Amino acid sequence: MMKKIFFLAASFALLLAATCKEDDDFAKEVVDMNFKSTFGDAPLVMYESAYPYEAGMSVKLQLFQFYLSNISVQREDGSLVLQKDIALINFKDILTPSAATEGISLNMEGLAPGHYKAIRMGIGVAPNLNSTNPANYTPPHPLDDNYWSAATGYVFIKIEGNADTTGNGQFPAKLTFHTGANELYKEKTFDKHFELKKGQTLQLKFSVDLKKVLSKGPGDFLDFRQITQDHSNNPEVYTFIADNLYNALVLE
Amino acid sequence: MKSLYFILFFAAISLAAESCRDDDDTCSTCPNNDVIAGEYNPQPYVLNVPAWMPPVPNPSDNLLTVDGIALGRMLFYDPILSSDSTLSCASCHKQERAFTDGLAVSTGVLGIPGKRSAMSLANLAYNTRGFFWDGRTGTLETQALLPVEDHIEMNENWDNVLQKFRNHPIYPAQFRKAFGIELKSQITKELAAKALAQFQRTLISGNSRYDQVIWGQQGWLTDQEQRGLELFFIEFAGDVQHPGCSHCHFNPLFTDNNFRQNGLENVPDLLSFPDPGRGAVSGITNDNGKFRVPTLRNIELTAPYMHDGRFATLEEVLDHYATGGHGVSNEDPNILAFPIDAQQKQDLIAFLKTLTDQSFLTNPDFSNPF
Repeated sequence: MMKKIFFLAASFALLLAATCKEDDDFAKEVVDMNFKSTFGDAPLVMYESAYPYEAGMSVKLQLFQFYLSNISVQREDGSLVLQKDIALINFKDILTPSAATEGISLNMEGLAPGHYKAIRMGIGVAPNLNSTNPANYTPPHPLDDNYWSAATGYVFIKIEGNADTTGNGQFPAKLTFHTGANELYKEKTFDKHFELKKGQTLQLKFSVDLKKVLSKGPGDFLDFRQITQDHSNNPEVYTFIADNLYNALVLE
Repeated sequence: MKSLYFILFFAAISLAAESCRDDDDTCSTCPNNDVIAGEYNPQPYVLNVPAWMPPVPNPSDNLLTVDGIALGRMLFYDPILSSDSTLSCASCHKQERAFTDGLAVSTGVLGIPGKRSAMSLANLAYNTRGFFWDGRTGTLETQALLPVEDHIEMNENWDNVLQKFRNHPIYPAQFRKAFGIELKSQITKELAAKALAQFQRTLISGNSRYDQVIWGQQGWLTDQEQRGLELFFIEFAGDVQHPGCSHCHFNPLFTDNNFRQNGLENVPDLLSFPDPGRGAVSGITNDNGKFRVPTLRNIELTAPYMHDGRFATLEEVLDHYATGGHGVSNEDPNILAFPIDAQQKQDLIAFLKTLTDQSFLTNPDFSNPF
């Protein structure tokens, strides 16, 4: 009799305990979009690392960030599943090589198990969102920052740091390149066949080489002896940066 | 065998009970277990902000209520939080000065000067990046706990404060009205901090003349203010560098609440900052010398300026920024030298004064309730 009472009571107690726990036993499908940045072949680390640039110059970075809009996954039948309307990919807190190796994760949950063939996203802030301002968002939100009052829109891409333009190991030149305008917004499709299985976390590895954002190679680069900043004043500069980022962002 | 079953039975029941227990901080050892009389009938508080201001975050574990805000307002103005009952939050955060105190650094109950200037409390509700100049707490609720026990501020300890609350003729009922507690022993520092946070969340400043003109379409800026606005928001005029204020102070909050090294110190290396600021909290050397970007709303009234109050006037602030900093390696690259003449300086200051919000400074809901 005592045995029965115990088992009944213990079962009841364990049931009670289970109902009070978070419902974490049922794994959901997750697509982990992982973003890593490099400068050439070296992992991009803020502040401390000096990177060889063009024409004998070197650079150190303090900030590299950009917005992605309408991040969608494409099914095999071609239809798109919108996962996030906006995200800010920000490397400012990458302060060590190990953090650079780890990268930045952007998790997408709720995608149904199945076969997919591509990822599609806009680089920058989509025009419908770029017409909003931080007053439209309850913080924290990706669009509660980087607002450009003068342009009534968002800064899509920020690159900030310092340059050694003489090769003497000093970095006195301050670099601030802030790019953003509706005409710079472009959507890009990354072809990638994958199957998301039930309960699986699947990682998609994106990388972006910042050097390729600043330079197309010898003879075609942002020369920090001539220009150290742009706030979407000079079309040659801001379209150069936006076009280069479009090409430099790749899915491995 | 029977006793083993009993042990297992009670262990299972205890496990179940523990898993269902809320994380409250009820003071079970406190002697005062008197029942608190009075009603608990929480009324949600709807915070109306101008359409050009963001919706105010309202954390689900501390939703705004009429009585919670009322209690927070009382605690904010009551010197009961300090060890000698001479200092309240409002001693260093005066409404008429946009909740600053006009001093370079504030002085605590022991007469010891602090090391930093009292920050404005305007629009703290929107800050998600950490409070104080160095961001050492993440929420208004955790922020509210610290000044009480800081020796250079209120120099009290929370146990004493709680005893004062429990023995107070009014506060037990106020805590009950705000949070529904039944016993005096259930008054905790966390509830006091929640009430203070609720009150501070209501301190929204978004109705300056700038707002009325730009967003409300009422009236016009003067020519001088308009020239100042252009200096403030537009980075270049042709090839001429403008101050670039709006990199960090943009609409609608006129702060990004980020931590930046704004070129104040001419130090030989990153370990030589007289006040490491954010770096002391994060432990990251490149954060040394960084401080939270303050709002420029009501800036006319929040002198002296910077974390240590080193600049008495806005003219001095502009003179500093015009030099472009000192080139220390973690200096924010947006700190760039710019030309500015006396007229432009006055234009820019005239614009900054349009950010003064009289309705915020005189709102009776924010004033001393005693």
